[in-house]
Formats: sequence, C-alpha cells, structure tokens
Amino acid sequence: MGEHLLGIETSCDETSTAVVSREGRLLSLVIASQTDLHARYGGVVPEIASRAHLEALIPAVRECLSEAGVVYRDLAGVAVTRGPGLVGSLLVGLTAAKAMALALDIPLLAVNHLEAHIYANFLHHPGLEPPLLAFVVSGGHTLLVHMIEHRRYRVLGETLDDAAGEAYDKIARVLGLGYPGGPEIDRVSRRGDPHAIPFPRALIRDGTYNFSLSGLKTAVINYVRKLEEKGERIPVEDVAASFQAAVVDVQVRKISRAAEETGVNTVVLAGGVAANRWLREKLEEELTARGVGLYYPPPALCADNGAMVAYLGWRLLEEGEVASLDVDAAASLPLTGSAFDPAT
Amino acid sequence: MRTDEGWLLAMDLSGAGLVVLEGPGGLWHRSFEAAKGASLLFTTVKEVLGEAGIGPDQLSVLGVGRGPGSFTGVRTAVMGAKTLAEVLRIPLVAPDSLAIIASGAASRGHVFVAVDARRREVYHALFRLDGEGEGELPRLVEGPSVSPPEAAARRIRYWMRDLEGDLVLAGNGIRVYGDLWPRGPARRDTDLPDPRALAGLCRKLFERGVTEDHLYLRPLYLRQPDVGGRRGGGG
Ligand SMILES: [Zn+2]
Repeated sequence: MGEHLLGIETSCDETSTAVVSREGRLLSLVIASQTDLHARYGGVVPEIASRAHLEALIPAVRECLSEAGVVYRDLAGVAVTRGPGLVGSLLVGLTAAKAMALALDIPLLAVNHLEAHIYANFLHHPGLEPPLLAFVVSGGHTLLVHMIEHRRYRVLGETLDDAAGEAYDKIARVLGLGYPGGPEIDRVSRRGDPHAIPFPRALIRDGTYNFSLSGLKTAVINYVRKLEEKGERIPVEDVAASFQAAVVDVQVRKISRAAEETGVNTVVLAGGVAANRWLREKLEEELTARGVGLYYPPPALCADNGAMVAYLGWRLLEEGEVASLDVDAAASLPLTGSAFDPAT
Repeated sequence: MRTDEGWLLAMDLSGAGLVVLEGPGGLWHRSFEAAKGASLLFTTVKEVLGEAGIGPDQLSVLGVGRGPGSFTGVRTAVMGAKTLAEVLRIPLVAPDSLAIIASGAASRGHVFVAVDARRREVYHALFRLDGEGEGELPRLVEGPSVSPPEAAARRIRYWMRDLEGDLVLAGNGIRVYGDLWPRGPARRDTDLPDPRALAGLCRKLFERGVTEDHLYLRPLYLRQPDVGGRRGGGG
C-alpha cells in the first residue's frame, strides 16, 4: 500500500492539489488561483470557475506529484472535496478523483470542505488536540464550532445572512478597493481609525453565537452614499477600519464567551478570512488575557487548498470511511454530516 | 466485431449519459438519465468493465463526446476521460457529440443534427457521410452552432436546395421543435446517441490518428458562460 495521499480541492475558485505522507507530512502543495478571472465581475462566476478547474486540474496534479517525487502508482488513495461549494466546480475535482480511484483501484475519500479547513490546523500544528473551539470564516462561511473530539462537532452558531468574505467583497467594491475584498480592507484599515465611525455591532449581546452582517453592510453603504451625495471626500481608510472593527468586535466577543462557556483552552481559526490580521491580533489579545491559546495555519493553508483535503483524507482512510464511486457533489453539506450521507 | 485492436471505452454525457465498451467478442453499453450522469458515470464504467471481465488497465483507447450539450454533462465526461487517459497512459479521441448522433442516423448522404439547447435554442450542425468505407468520418458541412430553432431551420432550408442524395434530420431538437423543420427528409428522433455509432466513430478517429492531447482537451461549449450568477469568494 502506498504511503502518499493526493488531495484535490476545487470547491470554489482555487484549483489546488497536494501530496501528504502517511505520517501527515505535507510534501507538496499547488494552488492555481482563478482570482484574476473573476475580479472583473466582483465575485466568483460559477461557470467560469468550472471551466477553469477543468483546464488547470491535471497540470496541478502533475506538478504536485512531481514535486513530491511520487507517481500515480504510489498513491494510497485520493481525497477530494465533496462539498460544500459550487456544484459545477466540485464536480470537476470529484470526477477526476473518481477516475483516479477507478483506474488505480485505490480508495476514494470524500471530504467535507469545512472540516478540512479545521484540519489544516492539525496539519500545521502537529501537537494540537481537541477539545477546542474552531472559528471557520471564509468567503462562503461563518461558523463557530465546538470540536469535542476528533471528527465530533457541535455547531454553536453561524451567520444568519452574509458570510464575512462576502461582506468584505461588497464593502471593498463600495470603497473602490480591489477584489477579493478581505485582504484589501485589512490592508487599508492599517492606516485608518477603527473608532472613527460607530457602525452597528449586530447581535453582540443577543446571547447566541450567531452572526449577522447585512445590517452593518447597509450602514456602511448608506454612510458612503450620503457623503457622495454631499460631494464630500470619502475617508476610505477610516471607513474600512471602522467596518472591520465592527465585524471583528462581535466575532472576538462571541468567540471568547464560547471559550469560557465550553471551558476549552484552545481556539483555532480556519478558512480564508483566518488570514485577516486584525481578527488575529484582536482575538489574540483577548484570548491571551484569558489563558486560551490561539492557533491558525499559515496563509496558504487558510485559503482553499488540497493539503487540508489530503490530510483529512488520511484520517477518513484510517477510519474506513471510503466513499463509493457514485458519491455526489453537495452544494451544502453540514459540518456534522457524514461525508457520504445520502440525505445531504 | 474487431478483435485486433484491444479495448475501447467511450462515453458521452452531452445529453443523456452513455457508456460503451467495445473489444474482443462484444460491445457492452449502458445509458442513464442525464441528471444523474455525474454520479453514475464511474459506477457505470465499472459495471461494463466487470461484465466484459476486464480491468481498467486492459483498456487501450478512450473516447469522449466533447459536446456541445449540457455544460455539466460534457465537462464531467471530458474531465473523467482526461483523467483516465492521464493515469492509464492511453490515447484519447474526442468526437463532437453532434457527429456521434449523425453517424448513428445514417451511413451515407447528409445528416442535419439539432439538439435541444434549452433557452429556446438548438445546437446544430450539418454533416456529410460518405458510406461505410473503412475509416470514413462524418464531414462537417456547416456548424456546429447554437441558434434559435427558426434560424437553424432557415439554414437547413437553404442547404436543401443544393444537397444531393439523402437527407436525414436527427437529434431531439427535431422532435422538440417538430413543426419548424422542413417536411420531406427522414427524421431520426432520439435522445441518446447510438452505442455502436459512438464506439464506431471513436474507433475510426483512432485509426485515422485523430487523437487528442488529453492535457489540453476542452469541451466544445459554443456558449459563453452566464456571468449573472456570481457568488461570494471562497477561502
Ligand atoms: Zn474554503
């Protein structure tokens, strides 16, 4: 049996492949980003994403295999993101993975994207162990999760409307900043005053772990429009910083309260927005004061990547959770759902 | 049945799904609902291989219909075939899906193929077939294009004035827009390409050396992506 697992991730706009060894070592990681293809539309266009995945995937597989010094016959299995994500995009990766599993007669591991994001932390911090609190925050998701033990989760709260990444994209567009919005707003905020404009902090004291950004989004847009109507200059840095402070304030407050209530002493960040510096710094301040450790993966492992998929794939393989060749892509797939639950 | 050229596996998911395995001693095929193509493609491939009693490593040629047709269906078939070609290191041929329908509809004369493309349009093309001769391929006279059925019907009326020999109208677009097409020519109305036609056309392409570099093979989409449905970023 091979000692290497190939991971394939095509759930949104990154075509990513990686090889992870049985001991959990990351041997190679390729991320072919489509950001440029979607930038002019201000968001991911599903059909464009699917077409790009189809062209980029086999070259990405070749590149990561050769970088890892591995050939197809060395693979112990192939792990692939099954969902959640854009169905057309997921299908490209899933189809390639099925073809490999069939042709090489190796196990197919169908991975939950959100769970893989959480596991990027275990890949990068080998000593890390549950129980812990995971905050999964990305373009498509905002989820606060109590991870009780490996692969057992209790979702404490989630967004009631927009995912953080979506809101960042929208506000970046309103402020005339680039795409994707998250890194742009984070960058510009450095020069702004986070207390300049008192934007609303939704649900901050509602007693739940849910999040809501649509009201904040509207408040920022109205603020900018009013200045525009009056012909006044828009203080882009201050607006960005104040917006970001409002988002992060609520997140930090709820995460620390959840850490206290669950009694965990570890919090991990997962997903693309986990690379947000403001969030990391504010959260670190707050958690350190409470004696809780904060962990997050390096930027390449925060973004959508094949490494987290391959890493989690090993665990699925060891637990015998092998998918059949008719497993479907799933646009929405709850974190707690089995990776091949037919009901999802 | 040929016995000298090994095993051919071919698939087309441009409309309903079709998988064909052809090799020494027979032809095995399965069709499945278009909507289930993505999930059933590889279980079906496994089934036909099992029936023939061979493993994937015994395949010697792959074929895939490259479209036009359902974006998702064609993409699934093309991605699947590309990956099989990559891993098994065997040649890949990729006929146009409309040509597969044409070669199943007649062996000689002209075939006009129209396939329902939804949004009140059809994918269409006109082919000429030169008979059963060894290695003859359907020749493209016009298309493939995507147009409203009225425009496609005007094209075939225009061509009918000059075409010599038999003309057949084929593809499910002929049924869906039944009244629009000229009266007279024979009609072959099917939602599914003929398994023998798919295998035969792939075999002919391979014999002619018309193989694809699987790394660069792309579906024949004909339509630009709809950019209306954009979504938030990933990460
Ligand atoms: Zn993600």
